[in-house]
Amino acid sequence: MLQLALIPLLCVASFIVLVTAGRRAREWAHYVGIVTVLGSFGLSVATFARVMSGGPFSHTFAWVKLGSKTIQLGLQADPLTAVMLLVISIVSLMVNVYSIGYMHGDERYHWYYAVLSLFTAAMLSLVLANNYLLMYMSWEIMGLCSYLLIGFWFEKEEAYNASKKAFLVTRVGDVGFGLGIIAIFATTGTFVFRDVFHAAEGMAPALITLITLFLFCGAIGKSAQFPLHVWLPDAMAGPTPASALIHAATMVAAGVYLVARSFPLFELSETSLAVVATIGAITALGAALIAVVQLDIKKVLAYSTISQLGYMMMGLGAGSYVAGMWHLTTHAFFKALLFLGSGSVIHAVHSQDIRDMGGLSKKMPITTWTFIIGSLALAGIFPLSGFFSKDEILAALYHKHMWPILGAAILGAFLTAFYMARVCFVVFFGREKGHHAHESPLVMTVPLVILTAITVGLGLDARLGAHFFTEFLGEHPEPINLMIALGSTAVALSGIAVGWLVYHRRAIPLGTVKKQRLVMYATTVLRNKFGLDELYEHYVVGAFIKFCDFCAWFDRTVVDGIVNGAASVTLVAARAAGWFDTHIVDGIVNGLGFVVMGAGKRLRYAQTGRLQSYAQWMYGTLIVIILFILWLTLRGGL
Amino acid sequence: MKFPLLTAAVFLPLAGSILIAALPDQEGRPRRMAALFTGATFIITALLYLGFDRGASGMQFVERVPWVPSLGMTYHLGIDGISLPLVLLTGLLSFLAVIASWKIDLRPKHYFALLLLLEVGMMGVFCALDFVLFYVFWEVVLVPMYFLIGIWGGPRREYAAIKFFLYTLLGSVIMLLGILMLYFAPGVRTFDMLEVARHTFPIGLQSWIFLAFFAGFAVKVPLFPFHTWLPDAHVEAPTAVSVILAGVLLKMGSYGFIRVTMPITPDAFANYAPMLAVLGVIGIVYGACCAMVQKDMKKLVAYSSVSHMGYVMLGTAAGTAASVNGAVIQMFNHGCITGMLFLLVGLVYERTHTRMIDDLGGLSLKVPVLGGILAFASFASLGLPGLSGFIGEFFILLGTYESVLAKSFVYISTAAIVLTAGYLLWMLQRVALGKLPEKLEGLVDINLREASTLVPLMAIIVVVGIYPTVMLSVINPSVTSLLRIAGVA
Repeated sequence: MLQLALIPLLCVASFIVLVTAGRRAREWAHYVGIVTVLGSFGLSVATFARVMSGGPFSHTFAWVKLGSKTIQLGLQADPLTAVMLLVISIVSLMVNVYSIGYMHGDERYHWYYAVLSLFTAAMLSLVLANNYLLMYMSWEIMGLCSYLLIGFWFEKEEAYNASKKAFLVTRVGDVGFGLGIIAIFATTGTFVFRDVFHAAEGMAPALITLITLFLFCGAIGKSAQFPLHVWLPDAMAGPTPASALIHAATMVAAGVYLVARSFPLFELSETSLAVVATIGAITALGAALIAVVQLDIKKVLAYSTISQLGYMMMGLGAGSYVAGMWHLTTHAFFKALLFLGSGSVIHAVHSQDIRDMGGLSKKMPITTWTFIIGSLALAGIFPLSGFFSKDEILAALYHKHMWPILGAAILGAFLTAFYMARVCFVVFFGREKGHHAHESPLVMTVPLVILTAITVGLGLDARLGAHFFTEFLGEHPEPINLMIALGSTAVALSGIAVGWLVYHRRAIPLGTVKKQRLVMYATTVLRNKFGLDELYEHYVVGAFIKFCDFCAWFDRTVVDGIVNGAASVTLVAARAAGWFDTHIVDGIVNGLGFVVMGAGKRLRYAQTGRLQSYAQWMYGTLIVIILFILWLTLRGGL
Repeated sequence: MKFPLLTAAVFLPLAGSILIAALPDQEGRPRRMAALFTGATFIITALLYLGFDRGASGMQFVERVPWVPSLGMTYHLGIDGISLPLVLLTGLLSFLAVIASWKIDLRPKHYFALLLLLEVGMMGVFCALDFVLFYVFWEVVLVPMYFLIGIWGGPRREYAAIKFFLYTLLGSVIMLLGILMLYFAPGVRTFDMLEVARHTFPIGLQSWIFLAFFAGFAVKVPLFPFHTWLPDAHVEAPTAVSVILAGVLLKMGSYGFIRVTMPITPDAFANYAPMLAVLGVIGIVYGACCAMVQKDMKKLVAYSSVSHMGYVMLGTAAGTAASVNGAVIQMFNHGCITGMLFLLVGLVYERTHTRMIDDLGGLSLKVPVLGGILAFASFASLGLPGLSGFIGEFFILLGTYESVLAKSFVYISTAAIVLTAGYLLWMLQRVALGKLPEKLEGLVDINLREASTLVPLMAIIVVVGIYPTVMLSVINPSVTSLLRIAGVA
């Protein structure tokens, strides 16, 4: 238990130390962050080894008792957890180191490291949880960290709007997640995965479909799937290394992890799997299309992340748990690499617009070549890791005969290769734009090199790796389907070739193409992100705020109006009643009349505003109450 | 005979109040005396918490002395796991309210005497097991509250004070009718709450009694549509009084529903439960919608109370072990969180002399600690897991899903967490983030005294949020036995 609990708790300790120290930690915050995450990494490796040799293990304790039911929480380590632990701790470590350079001199440096630590802790405990409740709690705390990091430069309007949007949009999904786990507990009486899956075997199919779709709502929000993907591109307002960790490698993959973790449930519902695959396909294709027209290097990567998360969902929806998780793993490393690479570029040219960049390959060789290797992995070029994991997804779709979704995946693969080629050729080659860019310091380039090594390594070792990985995760590997492998490579290469022709050779004159009516129309639609943001802003949020205005008006005017009206009527009536008071002997009515009369008099005193009268009334009332009690006491005693 | 801790908890503040009122007003004396007496009272409530037998479900620390035997009145005090959290809350918030009022310079003697008198009433309501005592303490609360708002309040203080007084008085007078109906019911002739609960009343009578109590409790909670006194009272009340009002006073209503109507009129309660649930859910959504567009921070927090207390009523109405446990712990948690929010609004107002959200901004740049704590309280209020606000709401929703109530109640109230996050984050953004208006350049961050009112609440919010058993081990046995008595479980 302690070994597992320490993995996130080390990072929690870092958070507490840094928050308590406040500004004093500005000089040494990174040491605390790096040392603790290094400790978590060490423990993760130990856990991985233990799971490999001794199989999964878990610890459970009673958290709370409600009525006669006990809610159990606990931690576990199984292959899935072990893999995730390594992914998270490695990427977090890289980002912690990289940030020394990137965040150097920032006013809130200590706060940045504090939140980074809290995030790492939450993400680690998410994958360690052996139950839905702890998972949900970690999930939400990650949401908080995401909010804090997106809005890290909170003086900027862009940043605070994006952070609020991210939290609220993901929370829409979390409503579903919350309802899902409530329904799970109400039906099975437990949150613990193993017991839930066991109980699920006897459940009504409709109920399982309901529960899995509820859970999937959470995944849609967190993993930025259509139609709740709108927060992720805006989230790029945060510091780039934070984007690499949270909005590329780990947190956004939590939705995929949720589906993978709940796979025993999803497998029981064909409907839910179909929904997962379809949403994944729409997202993968739609986001890839938008990425093609983005001018901000981080936004290209953000849409690419959305798109790749869609691929993972497609893999899961095709019933291949391994395909989804394998792609999550490879993507975590190469996308973190790409984000950190883009950060290195942004750091050098002080702009995020690719039109401000060009010819950087000579000045920033390390950044350039690591970025290009990452791009090739993303495009799915043999023998890099991305090739194998994407191939696994395509194969799964093929075997399930999900043709329309396979079609979307292949088209998406072409677009992916194309938009990455566009970024690479525009940023690193071509004409220089006259800025004094230089290679980033070692703390930034070393993480790039390490992540590149992992990206290449996971690929070089792919046959072995995939086998190991698939067997480790409990499925038999699919034999590589040569037709799909060759086909997807051809698609990716043609995407790169078109990118090369358009953006490097300038063989196709962009100016004339852009003037074509159809192209103009398409560009507008894509630049507007299919109009979804506008739809939400005006017709959902805007309309809702109008409704709230109405509620507030209704409250002041109607509800309170009735109260005030009733009060004046009563006051008049009470005065009349008070006049008759002496003629009525009944005790209750007497009391009532007395009180109302008293209040009426007070009203007049209050309006005179004489402070002295308040005090008199206070003591007067007190005396009346005491006399009343005395009277009762005496009457009873006699 | 054991030391009568409950009597001490109830009457120590009274002794303090009288002493403060009697002694001449010297510089700083009233507030020091008030701190001393509320501090001692808080220690007593802490002792009650520590000495509480967590295995037992019945009343503990019982003091029972014949008072007026011929009328069936007894001096009967006692607490169980439902009242203990509220007693503790009263002790803590009253003490913090005194510390938060340190700078009151308008007639401090009267102010602190009234504040302590207020504590007597609240403590009494939660400890009383005799209807006469219950009613007397219930009314004792009104008087000091009336003056605290009416004298130390904002510009429209008279209107707000009278509205509060008359509205709640009207409710409680009808409640008195309920008490008398119980007393005069065949074979009762006692005011002892536990003995009354042993009687079974015919359903017709139960309904009338329930409705009479409903009037008193619903106004206090406040349930939609009886809530309009609340925003007015809060906006005008001084900071510490708002803390007490939202933190403790509202709980008298929801406590009444659980303590009185559930065991004494169980059938009527079951019949009216759907109505309570509907009003609760309307309160949740409607309160949140109204909060969304408020321009005054204090009003926003006031409406958020309407929304949060809606969850308490939903959980109470659902009547399952999880939901009622959730309702009781939500009362405690809401007291801490909303108390904290009002303290923070007060601190912002003291520095900027405005509570208008549009006039504020960028506070985190200049006063990062205050801004950070405001963010903490907002996230606690919007139900972030790991902080206590989540616990109550989650258990309420969980329990309601398991109950006989329609699932749509759960769906709607769960969806409302998006609204809660919406109005709090929007407020936070406009107050703490963005650029600092020029006229707010001279702000200073919070000092030690101010921090000392906030840190204890933060600690409780974190501890209960991570390990709610610290409170639920007290609450659960009593709730379980209450539900058995009420025949629900």
